[in-house]
Amino acid sequence: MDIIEVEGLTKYYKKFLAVDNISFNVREGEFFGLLGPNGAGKTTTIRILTGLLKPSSGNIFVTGIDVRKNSVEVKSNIGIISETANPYLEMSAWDNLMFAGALHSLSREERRKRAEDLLKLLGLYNRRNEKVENFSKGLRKRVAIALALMHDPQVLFLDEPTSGLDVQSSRMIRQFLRKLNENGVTIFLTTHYIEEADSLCDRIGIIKNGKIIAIDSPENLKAQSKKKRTLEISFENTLENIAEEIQKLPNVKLVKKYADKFIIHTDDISETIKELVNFASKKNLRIVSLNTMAPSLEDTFVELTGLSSLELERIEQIGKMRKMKM
Amino acid sequence: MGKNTLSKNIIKSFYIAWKDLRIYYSSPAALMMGLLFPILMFLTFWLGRNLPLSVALPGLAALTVFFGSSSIAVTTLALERAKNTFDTQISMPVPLIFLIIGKTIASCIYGFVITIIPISILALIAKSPTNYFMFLTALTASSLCSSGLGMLLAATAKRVHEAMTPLNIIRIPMMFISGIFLPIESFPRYLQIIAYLMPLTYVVDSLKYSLIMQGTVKSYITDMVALIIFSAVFLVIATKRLNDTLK
Ligand SMILES: Nc1ncnc2c1ncn2[C@@H]1O[C@H](COP(=O)(O)OP(=O)(O)OP(=O)(O)O)[C@@H](O)[C@H]1O
Ligand SMILES: [Mg+2]
Repeated sequence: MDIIEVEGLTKYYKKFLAVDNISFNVREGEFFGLLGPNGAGKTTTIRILTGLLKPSSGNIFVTGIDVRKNSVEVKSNIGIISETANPYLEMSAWDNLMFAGALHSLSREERRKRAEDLLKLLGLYNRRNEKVENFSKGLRKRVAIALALMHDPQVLFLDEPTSGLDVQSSRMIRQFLRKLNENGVTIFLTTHYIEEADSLCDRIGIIKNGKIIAIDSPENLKAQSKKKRTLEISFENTLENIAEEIQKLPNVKLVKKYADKFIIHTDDISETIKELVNFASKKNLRIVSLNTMAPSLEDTFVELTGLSSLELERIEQIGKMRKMKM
Repeated sequence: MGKNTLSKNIIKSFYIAWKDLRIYYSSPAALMMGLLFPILMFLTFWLGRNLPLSVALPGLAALTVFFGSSSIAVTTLALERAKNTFDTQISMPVPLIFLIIGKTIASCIYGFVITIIPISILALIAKSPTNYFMFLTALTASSLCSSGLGMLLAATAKRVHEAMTPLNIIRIPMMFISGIFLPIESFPRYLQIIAYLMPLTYVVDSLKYSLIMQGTVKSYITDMVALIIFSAVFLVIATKRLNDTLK
């Protein structure tokens, strides 16, 4: 069964089209990531899927229930960690969890048992009676995760769970999510960290300007990249017109020279390598290095979203700065 | 599935009320606003005229419960947004109307408690002919209605002052034509009509009857009905406005 079914989801803010007729499904037990640059529509999408925001049009079923008709029942089946949601700072971690448990109609024993387990798993048990006010950003995020998991939801939704956190907290949260997913919880997260999506997700949807422009496993997405057919070669000595000579070899599409390297786009990597070795020995050239360029998810992302790597880096920086201020 | 039955939702409302009471009502700012402001207002306008304490009681009670409950209602709802806990709250499976009811219960309890203690003591000192059953009933209806007004104004506010400013714009003029300082009968006709469209007028009238036996049972019952209708309307509109913010 598909645990999330989205068909024709569209969202206008007044006249601004933020999400443009997207459709996709997520299978039960899947780890799904929505990856996109700032302003792509990730938050808008995840808020609509979780019933925190109403769509302009489209059909959305989560755990088999129509979110537009019965968001309260959907909320009993899912956990939500939205981008900026805080636990109640004036209460302790423990009291926050008791409150969440009560609103999910758990019995007193269930609440205590569950809170104890979660706080231990998330490394918060020793600080359970401290006010959340005193917690760092990373610890608050962990409390938010525990809050969302009190009722043992079937699906966990996270909007940029690691943005603005340090490396250690991020890693801890990623490992925790992996374990959760192994235990059968479906996970839907949004991120603009490409490596995060790559290392966690079974499947990734790439969103830009409110449209999903690709949706596949990380490996298949990488295979889409043009770079998979790229070689890089450099020679010890050099001759005039090497580039033109290489260009004439069978299968070679394009040759570019960067510093002392030649970047070669080809239809058939294996054949071109053989040709290049032949070519080098015929011309008495010593090969210093020959690399096939492994495609990264970033390459695909950059190609699909039309952002240059430099722009991408800048956007990530801005994203980080913005998130840290909050 | 019967997962979210009425009784379960009512229980959830009480948990929300309990949380709010714990968090917001211990805040000194809320206490100051709720208690000090009406008392100061009252002292300024009333005691200068040298009237007996018992005559002053209903006005003091009305201002305390009205200002207290509406201030705290605004604070508890708007602060959820201002402190980014609103998402945490609405991520939980509670229909919006029960969220509003929970917060209203908390505001009612607050207004009720800060009023009942000083007014009962003063009523005993002044030996006023108070009907305590009617007084408690009037106070409950009054705090409910005042909380409802606060909820209505705070439903769309992102910060406390965004709702507190319109609340003050409404309730300060209301105070002068509600019959606290001058009897409504002494007003020109058009002001009388306005007075009868305002909830505070019914708060004052019901407290005058129950605390010092001024007025009639018939008007007391009218007051109760009016306050309950006002409350219901306020809470329904508050829920609708809150729902609209999710669009
Ligand atoms: N409440 C709103 N009113 C008007 N426009 C909005 C609103 N919320 C978001 N937008 C716009 O909709 C678009 C999508 O925003 P959204 O927050 O979904 O993007 P995002 O992918 O989550 O971005 P980020 O990486 O910055 O979190 C943006 O252009 C944003 O400016
Ligand atoms: Mg976002």
